[in-house]
Amino acid sequence: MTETDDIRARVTAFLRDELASDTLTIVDVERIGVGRSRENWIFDLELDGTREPLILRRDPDGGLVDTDRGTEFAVLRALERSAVPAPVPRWLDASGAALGRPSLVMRRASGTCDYRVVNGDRPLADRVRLAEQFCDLLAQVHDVDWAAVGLGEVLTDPGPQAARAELAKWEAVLREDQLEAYPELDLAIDRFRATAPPSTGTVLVHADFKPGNMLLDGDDVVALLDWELAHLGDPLEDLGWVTQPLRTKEHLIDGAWSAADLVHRYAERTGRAVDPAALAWWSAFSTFKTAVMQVSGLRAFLEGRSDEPYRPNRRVLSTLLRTLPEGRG
Amino acid sequence: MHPTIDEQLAGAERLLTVIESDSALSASSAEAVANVRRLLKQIGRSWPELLPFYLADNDRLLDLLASAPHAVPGAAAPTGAVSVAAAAARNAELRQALSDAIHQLSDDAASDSFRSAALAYLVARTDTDPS
Repeated sequence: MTETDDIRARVTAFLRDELASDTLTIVDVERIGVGRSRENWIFDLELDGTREPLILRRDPDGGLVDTDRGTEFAVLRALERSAVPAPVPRWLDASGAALGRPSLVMRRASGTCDYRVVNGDRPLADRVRLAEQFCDLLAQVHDVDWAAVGLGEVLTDPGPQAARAELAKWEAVLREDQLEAYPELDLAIDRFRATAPPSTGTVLVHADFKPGNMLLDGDDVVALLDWELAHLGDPLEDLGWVTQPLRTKEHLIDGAWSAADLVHRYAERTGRAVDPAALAWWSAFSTFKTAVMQVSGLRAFLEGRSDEPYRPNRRVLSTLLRTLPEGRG
Repeated sequence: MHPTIDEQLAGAERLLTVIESDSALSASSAEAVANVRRLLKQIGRSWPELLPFYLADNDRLLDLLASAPHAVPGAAAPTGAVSVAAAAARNAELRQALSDAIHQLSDDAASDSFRSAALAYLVARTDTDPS
């Protein structure tokens, strides 16, 4: 039996049970993308003469980050009560009892995904408009009334100490996964701890906001994907993520859309002042998170749980060390 | 003596090219082959430079650790390693000692001075690490 046949059989049995139907069929099963943090399978559900396009996101054996499908599913459910264009969640197999590994099934939105769209082939004016639209979408995520849509029942509000909470979370991941000493990361933790800024307010943080997690229909964003890292925290966490030096090609356009432009528009849209020192902390912390993910990826590779030979690389460590905050908070 | 390490690596890359030319190769297999190629290239670039790098880095680490504000266990005299494996093992010990020293830092001037020295050392090491 091929992997595709196995998925078809598992999904068919799972959905027949969920929908109490012996007649539904699963067609056009295809794995999309390879080697990323989740296993993604697209397929259509045929039932009573209707056809629904779906996508299955299944945990891999090993990846960069361990996250919980149940939480991701609950976040997506809550976002249905907001205007944020997020995928529609359909079914959850939290334990993986039916689908082999923890999985969620979502309605498949149409659209295309392009990691480098703001530096792609479109005319400059169109790319700037897209970049502005992405910024507005980030503002929209942060403007979600998270308590009103029920996210407070799923996620913990870290309050004013959001930076320290995130630092503790990612340090714990590092300690769990590191196979050897990384003085570069220990020095970073020392500096982050001494300078952690107080939160400017609690918002829904996407935590992996990038064009590669958006579906576009022409020049419009039709879906913001990949909510597995979403949590409550400081809005500057996402803003630091999109303005960090490692990701300039994804978010900024040389000579036309700078980090300052992005921050200015974000501040205008949200009415939130952006403290440059606090933003610099979050930007450097974003690079730290990337390094920790690489440490986790290295361990997964060496233990045979992943086929991606990740490692904390020179570009990431060098950027981190050169952007570490100085002084005391 | 043939095959040299470089010749063996080049041979392995050539065989990967043969596999890649198979039109029936699945996307996941093609990605796995690309990952093997990346690893081989990295080994080819780094192996000649590893021993001198580790030996020099171990000396630099010992100098840095001697300036730590607290005594650092594990930062004793060099072992005189002559193989890559022994030098790498010593390097791992000394890097652990540096992490331990960083964990012990406090808010005083001696600690701040060591932070600056450690940062300068780590930036230079990151820029020159061939591994």
